[in-house]
Amino acid sequence: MNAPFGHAPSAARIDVHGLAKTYPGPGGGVLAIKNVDLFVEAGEFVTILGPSGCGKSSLLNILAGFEQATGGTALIGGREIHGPRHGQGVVFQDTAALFPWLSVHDNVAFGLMNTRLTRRERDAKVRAALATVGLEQFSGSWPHQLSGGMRQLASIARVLVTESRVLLMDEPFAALDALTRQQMQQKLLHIWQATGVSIVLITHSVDEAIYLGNRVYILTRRPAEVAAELSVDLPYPREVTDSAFNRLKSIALKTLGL
Amino acid sequence: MSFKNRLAGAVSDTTVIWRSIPLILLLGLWQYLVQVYRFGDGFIPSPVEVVQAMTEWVFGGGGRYSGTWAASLRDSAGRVICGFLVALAIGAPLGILMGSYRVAANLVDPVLQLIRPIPTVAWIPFCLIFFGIGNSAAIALVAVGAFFPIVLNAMAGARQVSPLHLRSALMLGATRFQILSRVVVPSALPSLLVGARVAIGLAWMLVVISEMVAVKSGLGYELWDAYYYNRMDVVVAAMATVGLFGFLSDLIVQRVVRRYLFWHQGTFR
Repeated sequence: MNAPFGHAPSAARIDVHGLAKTYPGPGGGVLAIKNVDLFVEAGEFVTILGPSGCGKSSLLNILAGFEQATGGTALIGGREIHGPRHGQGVVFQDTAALFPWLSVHDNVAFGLMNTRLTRRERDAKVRAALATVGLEQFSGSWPHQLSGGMRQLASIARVLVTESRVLLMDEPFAALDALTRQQMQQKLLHIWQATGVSIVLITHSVDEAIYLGNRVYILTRRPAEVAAELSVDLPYPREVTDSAFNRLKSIALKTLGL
Repeated sequence: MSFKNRLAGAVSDTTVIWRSIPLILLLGLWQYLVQVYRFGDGFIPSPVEVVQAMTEWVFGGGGRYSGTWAASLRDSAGRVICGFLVALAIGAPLGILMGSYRVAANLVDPVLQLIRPIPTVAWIPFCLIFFGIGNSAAIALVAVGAFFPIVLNAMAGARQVSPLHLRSALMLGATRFQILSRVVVPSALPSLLVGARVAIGLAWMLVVISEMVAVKSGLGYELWDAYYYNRMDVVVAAMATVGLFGFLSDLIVQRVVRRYLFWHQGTFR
């Protein structure tokens, strides 16, 4: 099953071929990513699962344009990635990524400052984005007044408002408590279904990866390679206690060597 | 304040009374020593004499220092404000550029480090040669002194910008200039305002010094004049005025900090 709800017109495809990343250092440096092939269809939700420190964040940073690959190719919408840019939206693990000196409204409006929109059009877009993530009540609040989960929702909204081609999420819920995390996963699915954006979500939680993704890429320990690719042919919303869910989970755990 | 109160975050109303006790005791002791023991052989005025001199200086009533207080205060405060603003206008952008671009820091920092150890008052002759005796010389001296804490703190503040915020701005499509103006500047603001607080204190010190030697008006001028005329009561009144207004300007900077940096006190890191 691919994107079940029809993807957004702006949603883009991601293609990664033979990607490698070596960090400079003594003795030839550190090989973080050895050889990764993966793809994300337009409007698809793909999760990338791997042990801590396996190079998943490096992979996401390359897709975001923050870091450069040392080998292979990475394409978004068929075009090579050259640095960070509008349209390659990122949600960070750290909940302090919002600008603390701006209100929630202004944080979301930040990504619209180089568009030719009237103030009214801009405000309407910001309101729509905040409504999509369920934060319309908190438009006038400041980031420090929000809980960690709400900050992550606002971080999603500031990317959505730009009609980003992809939504790149680097362990976005890792800093949250278990209950909030589950709520956030459900909300993220709603947001994805409402917007049809392509999502790449990095996680080290097996449950999260299978609960969210159309497909799950499981990476090996450093240096990262794709150990397995799971298609999760289960309808949303999924049940973590479901037997089919648990079959996939045991496959994932075996692949991770657990 | 007891630990219990601290835990509850309470500030009791009696705090003001407790805090004023040592001040009242000190003033009483001073009055007593001068009045009864002639402490200071008549060179040290009693608090009552200072209040009398102050009243005459502020409201008039004959004599050399009659009703000139407001004009002197206006002159000194004007120089403090002008000098401070000049220092801010040059120091803040320069510091932020130095904190943002290694090239700017490499070009400017050695010069700053060379000049900084020179006590600001040593610039008085240059200020006089360039600007002559008058307002400009005093403003220049204040500006030189206030410049260093502002530029150095602005630089430190700009360096503290979070990589997470830089990345956020980049992926949201901000240009280089927008990153500077909308991310680096607000990030540098908390540190910059700490520098501004230090600078405003220095500004009052330097305005008094410059008026003692270089300008023929202002609180510092009257203070030095009163010393020559052996009017120590006026000297103390001038000292008190400078102290009070130094304190008030610090309060204003603090207000500005609280008004514009509310988000910083609650920063979630």
